[in-house]
Amino acid sequence: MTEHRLESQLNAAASSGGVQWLGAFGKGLAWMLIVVWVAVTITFTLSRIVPADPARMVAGLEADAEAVAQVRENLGLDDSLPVQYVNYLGDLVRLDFGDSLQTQRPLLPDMLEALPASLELIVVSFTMVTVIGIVLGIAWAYWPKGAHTLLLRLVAVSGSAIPVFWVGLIFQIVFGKQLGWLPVAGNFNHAAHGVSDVTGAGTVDTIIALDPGAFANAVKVLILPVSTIVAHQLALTMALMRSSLEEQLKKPYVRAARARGVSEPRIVLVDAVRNALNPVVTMLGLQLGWSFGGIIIVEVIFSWPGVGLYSFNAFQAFDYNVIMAITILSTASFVLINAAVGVLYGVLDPRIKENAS
Amino acid sequence: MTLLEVDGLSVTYAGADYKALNDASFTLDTGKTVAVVGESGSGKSTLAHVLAGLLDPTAEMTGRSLSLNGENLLTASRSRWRELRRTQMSMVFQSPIESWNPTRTMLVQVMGGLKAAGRPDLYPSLVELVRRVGIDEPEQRLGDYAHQLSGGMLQRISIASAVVNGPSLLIADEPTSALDSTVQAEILQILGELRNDANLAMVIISHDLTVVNRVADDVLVMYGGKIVESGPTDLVLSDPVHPYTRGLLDSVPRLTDEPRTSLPSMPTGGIPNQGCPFQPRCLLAVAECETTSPPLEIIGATSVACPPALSIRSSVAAS
Amino acid sequence: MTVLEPAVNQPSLDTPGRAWSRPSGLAIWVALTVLILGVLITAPGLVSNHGPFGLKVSDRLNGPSADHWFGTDDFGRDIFSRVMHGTRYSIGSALTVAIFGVVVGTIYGATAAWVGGVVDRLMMRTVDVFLAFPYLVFAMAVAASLGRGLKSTIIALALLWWPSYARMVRGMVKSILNDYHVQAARTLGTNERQLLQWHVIPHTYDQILVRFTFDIGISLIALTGLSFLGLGVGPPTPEWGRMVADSKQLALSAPWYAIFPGLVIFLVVLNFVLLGEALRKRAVR
Repeated sequence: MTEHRLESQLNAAASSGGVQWLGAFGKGLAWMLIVVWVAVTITFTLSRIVPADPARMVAGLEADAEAVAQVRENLGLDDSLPVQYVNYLGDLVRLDFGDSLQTQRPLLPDMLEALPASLELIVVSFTMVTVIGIVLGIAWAYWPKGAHTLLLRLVAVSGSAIPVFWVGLIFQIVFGKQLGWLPVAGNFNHAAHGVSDVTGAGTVDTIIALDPGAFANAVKVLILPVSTIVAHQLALTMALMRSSLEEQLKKPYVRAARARGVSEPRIVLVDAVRNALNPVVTMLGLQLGWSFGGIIIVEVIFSWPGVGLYSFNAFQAFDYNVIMAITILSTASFVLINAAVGVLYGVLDPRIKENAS
Repeated sequence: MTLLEVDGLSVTYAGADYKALNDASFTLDTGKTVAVVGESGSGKSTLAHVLAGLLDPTAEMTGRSLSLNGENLLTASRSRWRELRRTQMSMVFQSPIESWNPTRTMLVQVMGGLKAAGRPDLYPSLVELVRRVGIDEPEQRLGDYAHQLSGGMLQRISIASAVVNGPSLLIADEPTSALDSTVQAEILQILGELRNDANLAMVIISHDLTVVNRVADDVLVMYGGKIVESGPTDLVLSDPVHPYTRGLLDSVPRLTDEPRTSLPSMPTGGIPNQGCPFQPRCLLAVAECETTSPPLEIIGATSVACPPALSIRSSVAAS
Repeated sequence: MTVLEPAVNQPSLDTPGRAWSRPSGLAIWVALTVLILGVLITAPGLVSNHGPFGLKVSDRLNGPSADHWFGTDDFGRDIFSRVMHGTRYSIGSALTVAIFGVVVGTIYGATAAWVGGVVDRLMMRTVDVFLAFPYLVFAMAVAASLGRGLKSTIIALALLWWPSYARMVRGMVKSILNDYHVQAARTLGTNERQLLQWHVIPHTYDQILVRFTFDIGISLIALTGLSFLGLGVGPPTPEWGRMVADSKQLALSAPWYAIFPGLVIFLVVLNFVLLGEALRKRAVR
């Protein structure tokens, strides 16, 4: 019911040609919010079925009943459930995620402080997966025969079968311990290299500081964790790019373009690839969305002080507020990224802009 | 003057045990139009692709001769074929909407071909040609995407872009099959006009005899990969010799109430690998037809690949 | 009109025998899968004389040997038997999650497609919500509420697993419902139940099976990953992910401890991936 009203309102608002696409966009935005809201509700419910008593945990095990009750009141846990719920929603809208039960301080700033380190990992590995995956996928489709296909097939198949935590561990053992080439834990240490901490990301800060030696170090620290992530995610992208491109190359318009005398590289790289990218972009969007959750394992293995490690530590310490916040934020970012992918589609494919009405 | 010469061409696709094209031979003169007629699986599309050098690279092709303007193309490299497609020959395909990349404008794609040929200067001629083939506001339409245009318009643009660089040969693979009948007539008209203006030689593939009748000087009738009859259109259509051609012509519905014979239906065995491909459905078949592939023999102005039919004719002529 | 004489025996263009003449790699993966499932069922009987829990402190941290194929861990336990025994926990849980996912997801998706309309849209929006949760974080949240242990991990994963099946099945059923042969059956007067049973669902089996096969591998990876982080089983239980976690400290001195359990995970998942691939190629034909 609500959807129809929303729909008609938005359609009424968007009457001219190009704006109709925006109308669909607005509708998508509304749905995004609803999805996030439901996710919040589920998370909230989870956090309140807790068998243990967070008030007691905060007050300390030796505290007497009165102190615990006091803490409970402070935390707002003595209100009825619906009231708590509304309060929580209200706080969320103001981006107040509450205090970390461990530190008794607002948790959002702590999380945000850990964010750059995670972003560094995510951005670098996602870029590599995208670039390498797409390039290899195209190469595979363009030269479908030869010795190289064996290697590509090996990577494609095993990549998705490899457990991330295991491969990370193996990398650590081989490259870190045995060969001693690369550091196995922690990220770039700003203080040790005398580089000021501007963004929190080692690579960026060393560039800002114009310090090549330190930059090399920042990169060195990144290699193992990034390789671990890439090893796992590359296979899917590469295989999808290849099959998508192969499918495009079978289509009639490719033959027609050849008949017009267009050169082969141009047909493949410009025309066919553009159409083949659609499912790949979707997949990459999904993978990016998943990466916020998946980063945890890598950060734990390599002791990388990002949001993942922060969440894990919170989990170990039963810090519910942090866990809730992480769940909501990662879900929201997943929804956001997927919506962005939808927008990207509209850009890539002119037919969609038309059909959006 | 002979433009195109094909002699003994055979094609087998990878993984198949029968010939998609079997010992095809014909010649085409400058400015003349030959229609290639046949049902699905007759090999006509394969022939079209061979002539344009667009055959599947995994397919095997053998033959005595394939030449354009005297140049032997049997051993031509892919880049030579590309060069030819940019300058001397063009191809138009059956499904207009599928011939174009859905995510780029028509203009970009057509100009892509022209630029590759080194002739971006042909843009004004292109616009004029598009207008000429019946599209108002040609520059606007060229800026559209394929899905915004009707099948007829797309096919007109296909034809315009195919002839703008002045090729000597146009290959059209079922150019009107995907279109409504009124549009069909218009497209055929355009093809006829272009042929007259530019002395364009055309190879038109079709299963539709009315198309053949309208535009073709000569016709090749194909069945099961073989050319079974060839000759001037009016002769072949009025007095077919080969039993398949006869059956084909008799099958065309007419508004008279003459009694008609029809082609026997396709037997379950499919098309045989040996002997004459039409033999299982042929009323004139003799033992020899199962074993020997019939050669094209000349009778009068036409060529026919059917010894029994030919012998009947000659005995009739003799009496 | 003369009757056509049948042609003398001509080789048909379609040789039906051909489809199965080449033995596909399928057989290998099926065999391996059977082997793995066999271990799953008979695990307790398979372990070596040392047993998965038998401590022998004097034996600790020995490399692979004839006696201990995978070596021993820091408690002197035989790693090989622990891995064998762990099959139950690792694959068993993965299978549980995958089966739950496929059953619930299929029913949900088929129903949504069948009913159609607003209900369909609502059901799919619900699916969207569940699909948005990253499994790791969600599992942490569930474990934090319901307590750690295998049960909450399985519940968390199962809850997130069925939505993708629901989506896939709904899509398939919807397109089959629009297929001509279903319309044709309808006009012949087939009732709805028969329609569903004989015309619609059988077409989905192949694809669902392929997806399910891949899924076992995926859920195994997810599960072992969660165990690695400590969300699954508790200490003495020989679950594969947990074993890798336990080995982390000793990675330098006892690399075999880190290598073997993880290698087994990799190989088992690989087996299911390849099985799925082979099934998919067969389904396409």
